[in-house]
Amino acid sequence: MIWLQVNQNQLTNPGISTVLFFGTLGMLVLAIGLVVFIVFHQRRVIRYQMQLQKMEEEQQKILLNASIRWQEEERQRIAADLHDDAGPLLATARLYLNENLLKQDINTQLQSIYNAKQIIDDTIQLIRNISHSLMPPTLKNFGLESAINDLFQKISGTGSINASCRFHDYRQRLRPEQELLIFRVVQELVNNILKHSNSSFIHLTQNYSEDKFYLRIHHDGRGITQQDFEKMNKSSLGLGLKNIQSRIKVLHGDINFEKDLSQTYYKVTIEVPMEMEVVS
Amino acid sequence: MLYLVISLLTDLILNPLLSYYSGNQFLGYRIFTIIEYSLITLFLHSIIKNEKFKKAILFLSLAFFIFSIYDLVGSRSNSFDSSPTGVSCILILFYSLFFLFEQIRTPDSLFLYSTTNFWIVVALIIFFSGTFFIFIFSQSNYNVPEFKSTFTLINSIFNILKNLILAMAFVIKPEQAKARKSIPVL
Repeated sequence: MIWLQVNQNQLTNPGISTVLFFGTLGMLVLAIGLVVFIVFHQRRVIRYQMQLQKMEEEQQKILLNASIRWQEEERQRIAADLHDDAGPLLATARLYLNENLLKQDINTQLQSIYNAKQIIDDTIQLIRNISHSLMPPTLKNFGLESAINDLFQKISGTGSINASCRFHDYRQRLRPEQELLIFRVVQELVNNILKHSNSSFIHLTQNYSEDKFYLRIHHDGRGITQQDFEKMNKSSLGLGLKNIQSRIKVLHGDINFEKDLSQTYYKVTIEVPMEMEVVS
Repeated sequence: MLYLVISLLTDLILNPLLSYYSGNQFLGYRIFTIIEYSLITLFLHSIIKNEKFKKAILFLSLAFFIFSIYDLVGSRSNSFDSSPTGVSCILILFYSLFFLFEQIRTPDSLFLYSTTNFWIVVALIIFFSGTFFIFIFSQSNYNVPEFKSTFTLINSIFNILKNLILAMAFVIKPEQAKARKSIPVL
């Protein structure tokens, strides 16, 4: 108010019109400048947001395509297993039984029945294997820790690579759907390591921290970093990695590929928010 | 709309009547400043969504009402009310900036300039920034003939400009989202 009074007293001179003219013009230019700036800035912000949205949609599309392709491949694999293995086995068993009906010789009949039984046993085993590959029974019955232990023991058992895992704190199990998703991610990662890394060991560790479940896989072969992972996710390559990404997304988790500070090991860290199994 | 009607009524009826009966044309100006501020603030308050901004508007308005009533009662009523008018100009410019800032941060529309509210706010910004100086200097210079002619000129220009932009704002149709018809009407 003091400022206003001072101005009012000062401006009772002949230059009022000039001051008013320039003052008003200045204010007007400022106001118009501000409005123009805001309009352009708002358009730029919206354009940027739309670009981001488009990129996100494209990423979603890639992940969806990868997921569909993976499903198709899985179906083809199961179809091939059933067609190439179970089909011929059952056809052979049928042949033995047909032969059994035609030939009346008791010894030949017994031999045919025995052969047919052997083949049916093999078929049962084959179907069991297919079923286990779809849903590991250890995972379903004993949980993620046992399933991963089982998987690593099998890998170690081959003698080609040293695989070990250690669960520091897994007293409270995750929900079964979460366990299955995490197990699939671990399977995919381990498969990739076995196929591409040429490493001498794989080591998996697990822990909890601040309501988050952590899994870390170390290996000493050729690996990828987060940049490579993101790059491959955006390209048409790396179906397995896209599946990992979509599974992690379903889990609302995070995955991070990095090289160890010592530049000797590669590590993959999976972080999943905790959602305990509801005991009814 | 109400603001425009009241502006018109004040210019045509209230000011001449007050001037005739009380011999004080500035009393009408003083009352109009409060009404004008109230209506514009009400409008800006209704279009601003941010709760913090809304609270700030309420708080500042309360302060403004106390100040303008004090000015109406306490100061010379036969002079132009530069102080309340100047303060109301600044406050309305602030609120308009609140609105524009909010539109930058959380835009409602893809094209800001295709909305009625935007053009109303632009009209307010242009009018109040253009007339700010003449209102500030009016209290002690209103009776100087040179100033009065400049006042009338500038005030009229910005009034016309404001009314033109407001007319445009009322005429403008809100941007219609183009309906995506992927399935033909059967």
